[in-house]
Amino acid sequence: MLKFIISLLFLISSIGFYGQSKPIDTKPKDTVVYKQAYGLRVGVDLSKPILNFTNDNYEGFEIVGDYRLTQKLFLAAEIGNETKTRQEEIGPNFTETTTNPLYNFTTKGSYIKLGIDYNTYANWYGEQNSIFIGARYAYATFSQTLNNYQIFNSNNYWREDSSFINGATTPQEFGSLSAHWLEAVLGAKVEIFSNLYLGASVRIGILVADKDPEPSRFNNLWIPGFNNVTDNSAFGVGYNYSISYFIPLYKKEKKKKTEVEKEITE
Amino acid sequence: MVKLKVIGILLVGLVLFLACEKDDICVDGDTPLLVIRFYDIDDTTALKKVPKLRVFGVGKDITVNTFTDRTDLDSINIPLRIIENSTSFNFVLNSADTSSTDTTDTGNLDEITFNYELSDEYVSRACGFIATYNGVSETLTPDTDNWIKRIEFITTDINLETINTAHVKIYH
Repeated sequence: MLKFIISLLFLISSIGFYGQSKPIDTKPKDTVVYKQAYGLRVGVDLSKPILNFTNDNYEGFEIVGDYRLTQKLFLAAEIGNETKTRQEEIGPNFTETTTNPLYNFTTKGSYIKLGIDYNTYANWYGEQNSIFIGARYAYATFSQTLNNYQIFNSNNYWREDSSFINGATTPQEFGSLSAHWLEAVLGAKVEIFSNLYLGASVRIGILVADKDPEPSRFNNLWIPGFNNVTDNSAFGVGYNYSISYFIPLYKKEKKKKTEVEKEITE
Repeated sequence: MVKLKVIGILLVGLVLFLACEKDDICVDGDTPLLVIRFYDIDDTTALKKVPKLRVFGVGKDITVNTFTDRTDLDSINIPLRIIENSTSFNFVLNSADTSSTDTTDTGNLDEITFNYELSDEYVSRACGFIATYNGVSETLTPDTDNWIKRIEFITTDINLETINTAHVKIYH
């Protein structure tokens, strides 16, 4: 403000000095300052409803959202719920039939992912796109139901491989399971129409801690939001394709630009 | 549209990434076999080979598939049944056919029945569940000329922890 007053004083004094009624500006400056919109962007994952439709063993949805904090930094979150049934089958080397199920289980639960996205894409004038890297902390709470299982026995002398043992067809539920993991995100969001964005991201998660079912009975083989849990590895991979709508809340000038403009004024 | 290209690359990369599944092959465990060691009845610490050993399940017309039939062995692994609480085997000493036309065994046949509690254990994604046997006991069917003199258990629980150790000592 002070600078402005000082520059104004200079301006006034110059008027007096030249004694002109109007300063002659040979290069009239564009007084419209480009302001960028800040606000909340909410949307849904497109891949999950498609999987619902194409895959009988899957149900799920995910709500995505981000809030613009600064020029490049966004607060980001995903909330979702997924149910997935998987069947593991025995390898063809051990039995006569190749389609023998080893076990079949259903995982059901919800997850939340919280973190930040950092836009690395330098937008041209008027553009609102982003290619971002991000980080998330994620937490899931879920239950696993072991629907049925067969005993794995590579020795088929007694030819009992194809029969379920007693009680193994009764579903067993392992409840109140949980998992924590960290995620690295790489993604892009493109404004396809005014305020409507199409996005895609890939994620690598590293499982920090998970509460397994009762020891030696079963493992967490699939975690909502994290996907497949691999034996002897803490990594999981995921992706999403989102469509989201931007709700502008306020507008702010791009910081660097205004400073440059002030310097010019001075 | 550079951004669309980026999305395209992400999509293709993802498909490649998710296509590989690591834990498809089961290497972590299997339903354990019963491990039997044959010892000398006169020198109980010394292993003693059973000449021309043949083992077959009672009610089965083929010999067990875990070792070469009619060989001299002091250690064998045999499969127990996983839907019954007992498994009976015929152990034949000096197994041989009477003649090339008569396949009646001239060897000494002893029958042992193993009784146990069945349980199961989760191993890994690729292997799933295996059977384990707890509280294993044996019954040697007495006959006029038992070549098996004594049977001793080293462990009565056969599971993943004891899968590679001997479970039973048979003295002859």
